[in-house]
Amino acid sequence: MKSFIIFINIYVGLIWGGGMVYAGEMTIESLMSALAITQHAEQTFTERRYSELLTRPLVFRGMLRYKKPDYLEKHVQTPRDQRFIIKGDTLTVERNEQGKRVKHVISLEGFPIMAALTQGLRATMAGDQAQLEKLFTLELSGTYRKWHLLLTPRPEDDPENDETLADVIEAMKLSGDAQHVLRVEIIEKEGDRSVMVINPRP
Amino acid sequence: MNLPRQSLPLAIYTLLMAVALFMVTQRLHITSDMSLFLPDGASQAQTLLSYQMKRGLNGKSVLISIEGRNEDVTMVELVKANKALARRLRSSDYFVLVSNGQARLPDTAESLLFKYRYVLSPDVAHNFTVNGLRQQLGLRQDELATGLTPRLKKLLKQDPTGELLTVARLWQPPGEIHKAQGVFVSQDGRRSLLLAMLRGDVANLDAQQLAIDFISSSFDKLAGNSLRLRMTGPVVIGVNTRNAIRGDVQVLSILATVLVIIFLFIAFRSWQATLFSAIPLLTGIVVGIATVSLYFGSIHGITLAFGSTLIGVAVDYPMHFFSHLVVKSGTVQQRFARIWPTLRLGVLTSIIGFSVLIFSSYPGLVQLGIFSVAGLGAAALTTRWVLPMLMNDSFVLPQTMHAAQEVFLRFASYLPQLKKGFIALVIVTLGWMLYQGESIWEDSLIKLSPVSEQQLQLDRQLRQDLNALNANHMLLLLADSRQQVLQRAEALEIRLKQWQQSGALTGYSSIAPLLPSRSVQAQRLSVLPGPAQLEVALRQALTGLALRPDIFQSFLGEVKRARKQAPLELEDYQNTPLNERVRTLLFQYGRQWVAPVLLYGETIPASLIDMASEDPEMLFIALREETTGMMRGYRHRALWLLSVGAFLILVTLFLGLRSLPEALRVLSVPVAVVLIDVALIVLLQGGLTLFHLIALLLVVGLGLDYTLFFNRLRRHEHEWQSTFPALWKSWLTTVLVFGSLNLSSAPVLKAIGLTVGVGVSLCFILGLVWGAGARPRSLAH
Repeated sequence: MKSFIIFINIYVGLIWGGGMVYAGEMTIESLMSALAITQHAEQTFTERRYSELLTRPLVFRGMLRYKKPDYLEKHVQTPRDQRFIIKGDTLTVERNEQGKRVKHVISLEGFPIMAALTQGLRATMAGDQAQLEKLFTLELSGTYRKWHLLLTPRPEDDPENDETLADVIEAMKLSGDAQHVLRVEIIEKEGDRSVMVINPRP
Repeated sequence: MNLPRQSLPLAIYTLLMAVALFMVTQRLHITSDMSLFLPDGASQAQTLLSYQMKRGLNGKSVLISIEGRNEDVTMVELVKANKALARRLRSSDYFVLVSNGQARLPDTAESLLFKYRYVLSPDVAHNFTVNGLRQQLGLRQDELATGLTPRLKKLLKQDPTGELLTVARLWQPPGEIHKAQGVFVSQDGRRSLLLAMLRGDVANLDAQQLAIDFISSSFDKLAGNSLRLRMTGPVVIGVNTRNAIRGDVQVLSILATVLVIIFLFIAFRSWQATLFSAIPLLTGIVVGIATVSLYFGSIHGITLAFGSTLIGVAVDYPMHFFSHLVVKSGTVQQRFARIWPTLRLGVLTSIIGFSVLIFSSYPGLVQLGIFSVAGLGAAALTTRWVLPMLMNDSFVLPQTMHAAQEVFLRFASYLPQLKKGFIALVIVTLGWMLYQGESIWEDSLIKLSPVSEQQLQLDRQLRQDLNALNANHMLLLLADSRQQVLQRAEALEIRLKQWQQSGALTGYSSIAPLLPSRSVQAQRLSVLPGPAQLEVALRQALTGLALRPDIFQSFLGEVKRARKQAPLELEDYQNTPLNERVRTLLFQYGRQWVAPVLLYGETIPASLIDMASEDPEMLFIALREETTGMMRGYRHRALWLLSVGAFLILVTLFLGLRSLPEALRVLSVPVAVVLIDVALIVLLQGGLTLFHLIALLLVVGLGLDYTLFFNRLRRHEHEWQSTFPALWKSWLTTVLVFGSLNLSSAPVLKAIGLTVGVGVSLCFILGLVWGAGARPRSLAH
C-alpha cells in the first residue's frame, strides 16, 4: 500500500512536472522535444490544393503514416490511389498507370514541393530541430496548446539547379496542438498553395 | 691525297643533315592517333568496324568515381564534391555532356526535343484522340496534386499530353542508376559517380590528355584530402598506358645510353671512337623522321619509338668499322674498305627485311617501314662515307679487353662441337610449333594495349555501378540513302522490341527512335488535328476535370505550328550534346549510309543471326570475334609478306656471296633463331603479338649481319682478332640496350626486350655454330 502511494505520487508528480515544463515559456526546443515523443503515427488527412491552373480546388483524402526517425508515407486514397513514400533520401511514387501499378524511385530534387512537404513535415514530426534548421529558418508563435511554426526555405547556393526549395516555395506553415501536427499549409512562389488538415485520431 | 674528293661526301652530308635537321626541328609534328595501328580491314564488316573504331565508337565516355580515403567519409561529402566537380566540368569545353544524375537534359538538347516532340513521340496517335487527351489531362491533374514547380506548370500548359517526357525517355540509358541526394552513387554508398562524354577525336590522345588532366586538377582544387578520385574509360586507359610507357622509355633509354657509353669506352679506350659511334644511329633517326614527315606530313609517336629501336642495328656498323682500325696496315679508308662488302650485304638484307613493313595494311607500320629503311640506309652510308673522313688516316685503336676476347675465343672453339645438338633443338622446336599451330598467336586486341588488372577491375566496377552496358554484338544496316536506312532501322526495331520483351535480348541502341524517317514523321504529323478540331476535342476531354480550359492557348498554337514544321533532320542535332550519339548511330561511309544497331546482353537470339545472314544489306558482327578476325587477317598477310621478304633476302645473299649453299647457310641462322625465339615467347608470354613481330624483324636484321661476318671468318682467318671482337662487342651492346627494357613494367617494352635480348643471343650462338665453322687451331693459344 505504501509503495502504491509512492507510485501514485511519482506518477502525479511526473505529469504535473511535465505540465510545468510545457506551461512555461514555449520555445522551439521545448516544442521539438514534445514532438519527438511520437514513435509512430497513422492518421487520416484531407488536402485541398488551390492553383491558378484549376477551376476549383482539388481535394485529396488519405492516410499519413510516420515511423521514427525517417519514414513518412502520404497515401492518397481518393480520388485516385497514389502513394508517396520517403525513406532516407529517396522518394518512391506508386500509382496506377494505364491499368498497371507502377513504382518510381526518384530523387527528391526533381520534386521540390513534394520534398518541402515531406522533409519539413517529417523533421517536424521527428522533432529534429537540426534537420529543420538546415532547410528552413524557423519562427514560432502561439501557445503550447495551439502553436504555429513558420518555415521559410533557406536559399541554396546551387547555380546548377534553378528549382531549389527557396526558388519554388514561399513558406510552409505548420500548426498543432501539443505534440500533434494538425495542419500543414504550403505557399508556393507563384501563389498556388495547398492546405492539409490532419485528423489526430486514426 | 685528293682533298676535294675526300671532302665531297662530308659536304653532301652536312648539307643533307642541315635540311633534315631543319625539317625535324621546324616541321616535326608527332601524332598519337592509336587507330593508325589498326589494320585497314579486308571484308566490308571489318572496314566499317575499323572506321567505327577510328571514330571512337562508345569510346568517348570517362567514368569518374569519388570515394573516401578512409571509412568515416560521409555521403554528404561525397555528394557535395560530386556536384562541385560536375559544375566545374560542365563549364569547360572539354566535354559534350557531363551527367551525374543531377540535372535534366541540357537546355539546348531539351529545346530541340521540345520543338520536334510531335514527330519524335511514338504516342502521338493515341494521345490526340478524345480518350487519349482525357487520359493524359487526368494524369496532369494528378501530378498537380504533388505540387508542380513553375517550370513544370509552364510545361503542363504547353505540352499537356506529356510528349516531351516521353521523348526525353528515349535518350535515357537502359537501366536505372542508384542515386542519393540527387546524384549517382554506387549501391554500397561508398562512391559517388559521374559520367563525362569527351568532345573531339578520342584517338588524339594528346588532346584528350588535357581533358583528363582537367578532371584531376579540378578535383584537386575542389575536394579535400579525405576524398580521392578514380577514373576509367577507353581514353583514360589509353592515356595511362601511354604515360606509363613514356615514363619507362625515358628512364630506360637514359640508363641504356649510359651503359652503352661506358661499355664503348672500355671497348675502344678512345673518346673519339665512342662519340663517333653514335653518329650513324643519330643520323639514321634524323633522316627517318625527316623522310616520314615529308611523306606523311607527320610522324606517329610509336613510329618514332619503335623506329629508333629497329634501326638499332646501325649501332653495329661503327662497331665493325672501329674494330678494324686495330689493324695497322693502310689508311683508315683502305682498312674499312676491306669489310665493306660484307657490311653492305648485311645492310641490304636488313633493308629488304624491314621494307616488308611498307607493304603491310597498318598505316602505322607503313610509317615504321619507311622510317627504318630510310634511317638504316642513311646510317650505313654515314658509316661508310662520313666516319672515315672524320678520322686521321693513320688512326689506330688499341687492342682491348683481352680477357674477354680469350673467353669468347674459347667459347667459339667449344660451340661448334654442339652443332648436332643445336640442329636437334631446331627440329624439335619446329615440330612443336607445327603441333601448336594457330594457337601461338595472341589475337586479342587487349594485348596490344596492355592494361593493368587493377584498372580493368575498376573499369568493371564502375560500369556496373553506372549500368554502362557493353555492346558485344552489333548489326550494321546499309542502304543507298539516309531515308532508306532509317526505314530499315524502323522495320528492325519492331523485331528488336519483340526479342526484348521475350527476354531474348537485354537491350539495344538504334537510330530509329531518335531520328524517325520522313515518312514516319509525316505519318505522326498527319494524326495531329487541325486547330478547330483540337479545340473541340480538348473541351470534350476536359469535362469532369478541374483544369481550366483557357490555359491551353499556347498548346493549341504549338500543335498548329508543328503541323507546318519542316521534318527533323540529322543536321538539326548539330550543336547539341545529343549529336555525338546520333552520329554514332547513323553515318555515311563512302556512298553508303550505315546505321549500326548495338545489341546488349551476353547472348543473341539465333533468329536474329539468321535474319541478318539472309539479308545482304544487314551485317551481324560479334565485336570481340571480329576484331580478333581482323588481327588474324593481318597475320596471314604478314606471313605472306615475310616469305616474300625471305626469298628476296636469299636472292640478294646469293648475288652477294655468289654461292647458293653459302647463301642458304647464312639465311638459315636467322630463320632458326626466329623459330626458337618464337617458341620461347609463346612459352614465357603466352602468345605472339604485333610488337613481338616488329622485334623479330630487328632480330632478323641483326642475325643476318652477325652471320655474314661469321661467314667471312671462314675465308679471313686472321680476322678472328678484328671481326670477331666486333661481333661479341655488338652482341653485348645490344643485350645491354634491350636487356634494360626488361626492367620496364609495361608489357609492350618487356615483350620487345625479351624478344630482342634472346634473339640476338641466339644469333650470336647459332652464327658461331654454323656460320663461322671450326676455328683454326693456331688461334687456340
